[in-house]
Amino acid sequence: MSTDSSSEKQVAEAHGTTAQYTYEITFVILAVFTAIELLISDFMSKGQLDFVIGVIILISLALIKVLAVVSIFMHVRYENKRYIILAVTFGLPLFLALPVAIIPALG
Amino acid sequence: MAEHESISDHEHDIHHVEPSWWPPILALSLGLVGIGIIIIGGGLTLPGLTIPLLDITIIPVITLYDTTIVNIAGVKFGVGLLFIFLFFVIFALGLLAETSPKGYDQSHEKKAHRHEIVPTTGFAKHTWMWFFLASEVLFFTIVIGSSLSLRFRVGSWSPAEVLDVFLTALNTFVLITSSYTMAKGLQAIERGDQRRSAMFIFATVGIGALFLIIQAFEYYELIHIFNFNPANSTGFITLHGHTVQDPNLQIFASTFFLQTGFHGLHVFFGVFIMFFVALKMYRGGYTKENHDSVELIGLYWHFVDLVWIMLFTVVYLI
Repeated sequence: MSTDSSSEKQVAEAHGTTAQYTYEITFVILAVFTAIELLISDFMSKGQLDFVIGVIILISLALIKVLAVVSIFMHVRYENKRYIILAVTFGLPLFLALPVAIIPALG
Repeated sequence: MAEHESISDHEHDIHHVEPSWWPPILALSLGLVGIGIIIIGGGLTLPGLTIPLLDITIIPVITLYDTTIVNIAGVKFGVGLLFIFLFFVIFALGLLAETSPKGYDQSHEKKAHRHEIVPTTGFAKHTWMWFFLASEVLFFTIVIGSSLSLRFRVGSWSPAEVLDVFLTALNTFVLITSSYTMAKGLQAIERGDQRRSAMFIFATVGIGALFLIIQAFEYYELIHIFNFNPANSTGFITLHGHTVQDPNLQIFASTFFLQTGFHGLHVFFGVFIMFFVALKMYRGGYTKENHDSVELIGLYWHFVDLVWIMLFTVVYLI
């Protein structure tokens, strides 16, 4: 597999500069979103928020948190072949596993 | 010394680990444990497909007064567990030996003699790790997805009635913090600061252990105090003075401990391996040019955090 030396240098520089505060900001966002999820769950359990709307909000927040962890902490954002990584590591297994996962629901 | 064409002047060396039989042995052991668990559990049944217990699996190996103590399935399970245990013991001893001053010099000398320059991109360098994570995505999707499917098939339940959501939210914050410290640890070694990196990775180990302690406390409270466990078929549990009645409590407990238990096991293995990576970092075993293991364990740890983010939402909040 060939390499692009100039893009590698850009990746190295990206690691050294933009990541300095990116990790802290990402951490704060994850913590705040977790607190928001707790609030929404509390509203749902007390009947103050519709269940379906609450589920949609919670799943959306969870997916944003997952994206933050994958792109920032796991450095996928800085990878040259990030779309291949996302497809092979996350997309394909989900596609293969979901039909098996719904078998209990079918009875 | 092998000769390879250099791709560019900015390439850095990839120091390959010594070939070892332990990865395939570990894979086989995990397979044995899995087969043993399935067979002990009573065979495998899917809609339209039944794989019955084979008679051979119930052959007694050890009996006491005509009672079977150990059968073939148990032997498979036990042998698999034994090899997994041996793997981790030898892995830990090997890392400890390598992190001693003498061990580090010997290992470094071996690597110097196997000097190779190979092309690298992020994907090529960590390809096998991404494929391993893909297998973990497959595994957790099936575990979480099937638990969710089962839950909504039987009519669902309210986690907030039984589980301590606030404590687990705190635990989620703990794990997110550990992910942050791991990222900082990697950042530090990318800048060549070994001590700072070791500090952050040790912090990650400590915070990961704290997560396990909190989860163990939660398990103890649920199982021993509230009697919330798969064996409780009454449909009743008593929590903080009030009684919860739900005919699906057994299924709730089974799926809860299955999902969180497997995740906890992954956290445990991560903490175990990370401890030795941190130790090696503290002893100067990693450098700015050579810290692949730190990146790899970092990827694994962030993945564990990622799975917990989904688990927390699906198991505790919805």
